[in-house]
Amino acid sequence: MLPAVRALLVADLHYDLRKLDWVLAEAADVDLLVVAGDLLDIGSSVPLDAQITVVLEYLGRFAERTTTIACSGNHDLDHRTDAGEKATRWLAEARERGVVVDGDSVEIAGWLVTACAWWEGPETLQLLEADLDRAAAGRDGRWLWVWHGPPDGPLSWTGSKHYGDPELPRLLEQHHPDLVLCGHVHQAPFVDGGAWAERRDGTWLFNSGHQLGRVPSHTFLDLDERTARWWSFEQEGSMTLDLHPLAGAQ
Amino acid sequence: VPPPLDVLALTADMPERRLEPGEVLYREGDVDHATVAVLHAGVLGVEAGGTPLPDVSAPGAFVGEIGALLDQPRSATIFARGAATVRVIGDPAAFFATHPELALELARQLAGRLHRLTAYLADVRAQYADEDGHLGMVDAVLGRLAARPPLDIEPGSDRSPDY
Repeated sequence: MLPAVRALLVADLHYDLRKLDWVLAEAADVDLLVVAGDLLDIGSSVPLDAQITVVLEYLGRFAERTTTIACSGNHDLDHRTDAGEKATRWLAEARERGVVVDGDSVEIAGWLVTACAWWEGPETLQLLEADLDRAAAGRDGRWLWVWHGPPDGPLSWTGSKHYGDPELPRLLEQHHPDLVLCGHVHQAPFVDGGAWAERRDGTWLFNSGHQLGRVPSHTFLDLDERTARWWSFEQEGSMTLDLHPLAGAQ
Repeated sequence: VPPPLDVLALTADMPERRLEPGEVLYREGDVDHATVAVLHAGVLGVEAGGTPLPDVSAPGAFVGEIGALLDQPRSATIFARGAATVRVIGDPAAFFATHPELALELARQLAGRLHRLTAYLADVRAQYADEDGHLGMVDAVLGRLAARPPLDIEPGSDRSPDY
């Protein structure tokens, strides 16, 4: 029997030190910590290279306490590739501190967990798809993606506009991951027509949203018991995940 | 340590600008790096992110130098508390290249600020070393900030520029 896996999903921490402190305090109590992008805040008065230094320190300390995986979001981009596309370079430095980052995968209790980089154009999308193809080749059980931008749907709804990832639906059809843990659209769980969880074919997708205050809205997932529990100051929710049976499973 | 140079004497030939009470010299967020100013007379108020910061009242103090030197948007709004006069240094990079004595004085003023900040943070580091949250990592962050070379970062997304 596989051990229980208790995972914590946070995203859009946006260099909020009090939220980062909360995550640090929680890290030791979970088996998997998922930080689904937008660690930095491009609107902050703190220069981005200083933010990067601080966030790398947090990520390293998270990883000292639990398995930590982080993907980039649109606030985390820091340079342009030779092809002229924006991309994230700094997050790779967290790899030295034991963090699973963009393009990497880790196995934990029968789950393959993959960090998916924010893409900007054909070149970075191609790199992302190559990462997924490589990870898929080693998959023999459940698959969890950490992917900043949810697809158009209730997880991408701001109340007035969708900010969905146009490529994610195609890749979901191609790879059929079991779980996709997202962020990006802060309002989605709180507005009419939005949600913190969505089932799309055989895949469950989550977006914990973003709230003001020292505690980030977040989702605890028990990957063994197959439950999800979302929390925010204003609202809470819970559900059971009816995952598709694995191929060959009895 | 050599005594501070008399900045006012060394900038006596620079053009002066009179500021009326409340008049803004530099506005936070502006990307105009064409000038650095030296306070000649009066008091300048400083505000950043809606937070008032200590006034600049020492004649000969440089203002607006950080945005100009780092090619960053102005980090604070500088305005005249009452009637004030500043001397304006245009094309700061060229000016300091040809006036090394003033570049040295500017470096001295910046070093003084850095020293005060570092001393304060080093004490925070010592007093909060056993804290689990951010205060407990000030030590490590300071070390890494000091060692890290400046990064040339181009922030923001082309695909999702408005969200």
